Amino acid sequence: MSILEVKNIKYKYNKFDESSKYALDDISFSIDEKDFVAIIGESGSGKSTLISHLNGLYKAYSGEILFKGVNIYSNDFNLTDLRFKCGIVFQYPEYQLFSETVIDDVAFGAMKKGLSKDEAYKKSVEVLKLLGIEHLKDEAPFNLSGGEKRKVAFAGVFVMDPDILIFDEPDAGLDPVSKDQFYELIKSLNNKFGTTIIYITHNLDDVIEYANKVIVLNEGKIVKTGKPFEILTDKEVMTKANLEMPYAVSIYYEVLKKGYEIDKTKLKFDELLNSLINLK
Amino acid sequence: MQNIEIKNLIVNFDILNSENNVVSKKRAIDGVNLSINEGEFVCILGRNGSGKSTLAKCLNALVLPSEGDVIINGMNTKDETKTLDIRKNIGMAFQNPDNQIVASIVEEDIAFGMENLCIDSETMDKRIDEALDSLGIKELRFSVTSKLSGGQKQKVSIAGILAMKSKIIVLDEPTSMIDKNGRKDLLDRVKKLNKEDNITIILISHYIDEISYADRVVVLDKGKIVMDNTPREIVLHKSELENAGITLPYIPNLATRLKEHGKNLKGNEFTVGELCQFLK
Repeated sequence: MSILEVKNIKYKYNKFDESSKYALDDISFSIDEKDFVAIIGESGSGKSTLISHLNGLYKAYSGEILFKGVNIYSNDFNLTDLRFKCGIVFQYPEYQLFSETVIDDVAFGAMKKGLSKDEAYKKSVEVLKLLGIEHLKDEAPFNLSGGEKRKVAFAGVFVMDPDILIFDEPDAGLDPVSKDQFYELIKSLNNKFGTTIIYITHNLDDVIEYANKVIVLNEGKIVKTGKPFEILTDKEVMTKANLEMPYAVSIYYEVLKKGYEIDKTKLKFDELLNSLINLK
Repeated sequence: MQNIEIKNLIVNFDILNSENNVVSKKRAIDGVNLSINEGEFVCILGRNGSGKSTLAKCLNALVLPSEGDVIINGMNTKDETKTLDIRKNIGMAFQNPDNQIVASIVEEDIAFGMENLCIDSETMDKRIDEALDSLGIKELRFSVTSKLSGGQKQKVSIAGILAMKSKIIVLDEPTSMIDKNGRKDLLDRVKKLNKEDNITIILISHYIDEISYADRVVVLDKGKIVMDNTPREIVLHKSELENAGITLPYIPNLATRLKEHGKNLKGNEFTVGELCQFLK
């Protein structure tokens, strides 16, 4: 069942300027429950603008967005409720931390949602435990490393029990090990709780590794949506979106060029390694 | 001529509580010795919190040594009368462009650095054009900075550095919000500056794929230099890198794994072409 349906939305930043371009131009797609969706596209293609629409932060000029079948622009729709169910973690979320201790910062969101102070703190500890940072709960967020701060910011969103988690470039600025841990973590949330994941990224090799659906944007329009291997091996789409192929795909084409057979649907690192070992 | 000379550098930070009293000290840089020659392209790697950014900030006297010396073209960063001259020598682009953009219009922002160097307006005009052109964002010259995307802001802040024509350019994760194509363009441009104008480049990066641009890779861990070698050599030391929180770049990683399976590869291949040589 689709949890989120975007239908023909249009948006522009300067609404008084007739000649200005649409930042989003007739965007439609649908996302199912438990999907792991990557939004890709070059800088300025409209990725961040798009996700800000998904929980009603920006309002589209035309078109509609359905959350679990209900139009979020209808008069009686509860937008506040949507923002708890559809949590966004922005670029560099560590700059959003403000409380004196980690646990206060995380509990803030839970209390906003209406939990009592006791419940909120209990729940916050559970979330910190889940993310493996319970030991930091009494630290000041400003003394933590970048990766730790990001986990704290993330805990602050996750504590609200969202059905959909949206990330804007979650891996920017994380070292490779922290980045892998982060992806493993959201993958496990996706598996265990069925949380729908939507994220923006520039790292296309990781898209192959984790996502089950890809949305490609260019100049505010959707170029194509589909499965990672379909999209990323489609030379026409990649050229149109001005994106460079991930390594796995470049290797795939090089192997084909040399006259070998190789399975297009198996491009995850271990799968590709296996294919390369057993090439005949 | 020696460009950068770092001798026995130690940097301690005070950790404050909410009343601004020092509760403890944290050692960010722990005895670093490093000399970088004019015209070198050095990549600094290390996990989050390893001291990379602190080291970068020591170069232009934003952070002063607790012990030891940092000498830039013969000028000690401890000598306050030289601070301005040192900053003329070193252009620095930080991780988060939002911390760096000062003006409301792109061209004014790029001009800001040059204005401080007392460059005449005709030259400024020319350099703004060149800098924007080289990053492929000429059309943004008169745009409002607050309405740019993350990646666009990052490019604008780098254009400001390029326009200053500093002898040394320090880039602290300059490409974290830019797509792979844009990253390649940017680094090609930086490499060109390095080769043609003999500008010293210090690149701090998490995209370890980018080390192939450098002549030399320095790996930091817990404020100490743990490795210092060429990119080709460094990727052959997988376990040492992993101890420092760094995973191998995609292609060298795949090459290493294939080598383990008896394929005829060295394990330090960097391009798809080099990797696929094992196929006849």
